[in-house]
Amino acid sequence: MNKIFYLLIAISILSACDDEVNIPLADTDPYLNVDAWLTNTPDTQRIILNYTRSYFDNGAPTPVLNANVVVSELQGDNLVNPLVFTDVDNNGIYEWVPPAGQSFGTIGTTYILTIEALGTTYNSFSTMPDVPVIDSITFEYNKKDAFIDEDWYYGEFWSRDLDGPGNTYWIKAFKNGDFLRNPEDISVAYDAGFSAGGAVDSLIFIQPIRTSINSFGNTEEFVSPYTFGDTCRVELHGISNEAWFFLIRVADETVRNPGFAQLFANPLANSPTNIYPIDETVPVVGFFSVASVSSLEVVMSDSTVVDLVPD
Amino acid sequence: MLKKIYILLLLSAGALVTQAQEKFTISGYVKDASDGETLIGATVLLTELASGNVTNFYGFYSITVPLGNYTVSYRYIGYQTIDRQVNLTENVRLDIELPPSERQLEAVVVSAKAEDANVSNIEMSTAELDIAQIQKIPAFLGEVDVVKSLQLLPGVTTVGEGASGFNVRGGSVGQNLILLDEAPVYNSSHMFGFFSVFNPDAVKDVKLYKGGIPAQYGGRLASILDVRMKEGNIKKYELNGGIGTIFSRFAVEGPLVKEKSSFILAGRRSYIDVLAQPFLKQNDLEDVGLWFYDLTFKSNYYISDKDRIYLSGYMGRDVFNFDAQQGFDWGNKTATLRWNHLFNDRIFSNTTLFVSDYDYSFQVGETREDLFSWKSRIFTYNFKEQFTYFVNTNNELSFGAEAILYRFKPAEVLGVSVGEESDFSLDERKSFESAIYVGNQQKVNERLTLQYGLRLSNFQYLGEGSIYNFGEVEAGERKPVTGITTADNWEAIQTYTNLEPRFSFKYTLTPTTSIKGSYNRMSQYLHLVSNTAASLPTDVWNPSSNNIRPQLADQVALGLFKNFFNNKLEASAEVYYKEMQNQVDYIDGADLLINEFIEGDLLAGEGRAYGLEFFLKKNTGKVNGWVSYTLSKSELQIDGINNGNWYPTRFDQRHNVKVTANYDMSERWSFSTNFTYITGTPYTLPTQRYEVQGYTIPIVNGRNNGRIPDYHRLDLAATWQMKKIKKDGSAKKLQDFWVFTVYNAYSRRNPFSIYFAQSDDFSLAGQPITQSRQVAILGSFVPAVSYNFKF
Repeated sequence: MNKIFYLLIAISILSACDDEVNIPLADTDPYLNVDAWLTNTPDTQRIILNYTRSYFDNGAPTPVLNANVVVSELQGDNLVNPLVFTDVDNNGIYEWVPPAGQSFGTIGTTYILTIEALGTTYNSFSTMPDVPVIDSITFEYNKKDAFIDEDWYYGEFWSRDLDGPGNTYWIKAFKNGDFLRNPEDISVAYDAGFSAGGAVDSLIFIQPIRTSINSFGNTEEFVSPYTFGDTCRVELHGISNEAWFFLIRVADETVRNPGFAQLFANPLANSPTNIYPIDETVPVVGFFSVASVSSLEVVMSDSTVVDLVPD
Repeated sequence: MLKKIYILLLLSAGALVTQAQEKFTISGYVKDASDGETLIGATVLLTELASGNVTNFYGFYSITVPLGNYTVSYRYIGYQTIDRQVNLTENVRLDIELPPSERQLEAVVVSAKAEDANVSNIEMSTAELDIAQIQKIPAFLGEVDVVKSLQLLPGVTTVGEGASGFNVRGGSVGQNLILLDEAPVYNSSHMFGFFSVFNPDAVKDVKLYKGGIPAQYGGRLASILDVRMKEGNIKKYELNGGIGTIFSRFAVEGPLVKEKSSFILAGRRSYIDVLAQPFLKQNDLEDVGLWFYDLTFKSNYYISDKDRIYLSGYMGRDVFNFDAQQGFDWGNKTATLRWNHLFNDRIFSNTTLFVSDYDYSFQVGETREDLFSWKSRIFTYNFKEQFTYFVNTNNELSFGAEAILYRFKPAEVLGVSVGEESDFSLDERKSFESAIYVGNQQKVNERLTLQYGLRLSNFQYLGEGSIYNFGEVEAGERKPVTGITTADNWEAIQTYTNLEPRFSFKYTLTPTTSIKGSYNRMSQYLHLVSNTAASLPTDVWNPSSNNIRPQLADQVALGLFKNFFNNKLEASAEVYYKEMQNQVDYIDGADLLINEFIEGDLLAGEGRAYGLEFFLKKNTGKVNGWVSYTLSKSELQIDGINNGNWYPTRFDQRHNVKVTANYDMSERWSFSTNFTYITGTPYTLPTQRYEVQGYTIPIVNGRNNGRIPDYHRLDLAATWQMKKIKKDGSAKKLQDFWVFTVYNAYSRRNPFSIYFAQSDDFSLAGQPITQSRQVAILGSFVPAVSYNFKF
């Protein structure tokens, strides 16, 4: 919705002003942040532990060192196959490298994260859901118009939501190997659509989810999301409902459209966490997720460009 | 025994007859002699008794007094006073037409009330503006605006430019009942609040009740805005219009049947899109649309001396289209049929039947193969019967009943993905609201007047449809569905009944000073769920249900009213305190759009608001205007928000000062200005940050815990009247004037909000750079010119 309003604002005749201001903030004590997003890929799996810091502190976060970080499988009531994550470089990045030819995780399995740090123990759990394959990626041709003075192309990925309601996904796009990392580019799906209750189960992902793999940049000048020769890689992550909700919340809190769009902004609020300290009074933030991933990479060329809406 | 009773009956009947022989009624309508419009609130005074009455919303009055000779004086500011000698030996019907005062231009109409109404009238906590006055106030882009003008009065605020609706005494936008000829208008804004939906050419009277609300009104907590439309000139045809910067207006009115029936038809349309059409066409963008229109119609017919019917309607729509397939739009449609009937000289009745249809929708998707369309509607059907019994000069009894059927279609949704269609519309919901009321205005003695009443309201949440039950969770989290049962059609799923007492008094201390006080309880069964800074057209109205309880408010107010210099200067000071129950908000991350389990995402809590309002107004003279000051506080306490502690509402404003002044320099030129100073509204501050997957996430400790800087603004306007007389001395048929306005004259970038976000830049440490930014909706002054005509 935010995007729609932003579009509206772009054509509004009124120009709102948006200026940086200096706001003093209260000092508060730092505490543990857990960034633990694991995937069933052969890549090195990383869990980052560091401290929260003052909102305007743009320096590197202080790492939480000497923690014990273990991810185990839950089988019945037992924890089995513990994987120990180690901080090799002493920088708060705890890693586990899959043995050659193997990858982390099994679809349908629940994983328990246990962290011993800062004098207490934190637990979390997450179950790895399944993910459909990406059938193809195409590029749509757009003629230049009054607003955009060059022909341009956007990418579109094609995949079908798994059978049964309640599948949730994170769509991550990489242009020429770079992850589209702006908060505005966060794209998640609930079944083939946006949220529970939408009867869009087992459809091809709806618009505009299929085209959520395009970044229009943040500069004043229009940049075509893709041009000939660009590579576009799309990763479809099957994530838990909790992780899906977490990402929705993160997008809500981090995508703060400027200017006129502030009319419709929600008040700032905290994002949820699924990290539980044994002592409930200990504050903690962050999230633990185990995802299954399917991906596809294509190069934009004559064979991948289509014109779905011919003149 | 029987004989005894018979005699007793005979005697009492005789007593009644004697009484009837002694007292007679003078009644009738008071109208404007120039166009036949009935006058609301005109004073009818029996000079000998120094007592009388004022005309009601339909211009009707009735006074019952003992036999005798009386001088009946009809008065209305801006009109010539007419005195009639009446030898009252039987009931008299006197329909009076008051000619407009010849010096009307110089004696500017500020309030169309009795000169000392501020002190003598029992009403408190009301704000009333005459359309002639509204037209003089400097307006944004020069467009005269009913709702914006009300915001210059004490106790009425807005979050800022571009915010839809208005806030009254710490109430939210959805707590105002906006009635256009008695039909509710769910969204009173065009273009996200820059303009209101009321066409000033068709509006006759605007009255806002902030407190002391009479028993005949109900259904919202904070205020009732009662907008009455003109009936149309019954004497001659008249064209009114204006050409402005953003839109043009046009109104035509006149008699349908001479002295029996008249009509008015008024329309407005914005034309940015029309002007831009050649440009858009040239660039294949002809489907881009950004426009609104509204159409207002009213007609009336005098069936007899005792019966008059009215038919009125409103239709308005805002459209924002990006192309032929994508965009959104919303609109209100209302139609009202009313019948005024006089049972006798003392019993006036009004029967109202209306339907209203409010809808909002949006559609995205580039082709028919891929689209997502969403539409939400509320249908309202209402039947209302109101009686006024003019018992005697000391008592005016009003009673009546109301029945409203609501049909909510929360979401009609169609999704098409590569040609595969799926309909995921939500069930229609029905609700039935009814009320009966009785109220009396009693003049106890020369000093004390009371108004008291009771309203009994009832609300039924009806089938058919699913009934959801939710489990308990920690406050602030989504409640899980624990059970779904099904209700039959028209089955009452949940019923609420509320007794709403209303009480007001006025005590006259001196002829120029009075004290007034009031208590009222209000209930509200429909909830507008929103926590965005400005109210959105897509905000969702939800009925009370088995999961959402009705909102209740109790308000007390006390005021001192004083006039100076022979009523030339009016002053008032009021304090109020209001407590509200079941205030609805939603959890963070709530899914409000297409969610059959939406009730699981809603939270309820308490609210309180209190304040002090000062008002000083100079009514007459070449320089006139007013000063308004409000000191207020508005807070909420909702489990699940701000750790369950009290927090200020988004529209909480501590100090609010407004000054409006007019200077009528000559017959041709008049100038006006207003100045606004408001201390900053709250916003939410973060304390810390952390990164997950590269995103910088804020940590928040509280809600609305910061304040944006103060807001102040000066607006200027000049009205240039074109010559009214031809060279030969005869009156010109065309009356026209120009209005020049400058809004935000000293170009202040008034803050609307402050927000926090990561910028596109990264620090040397590779971290997203966070920043705080202040938004001003208007960046500079806004000049405008409009041309207005009448012939």
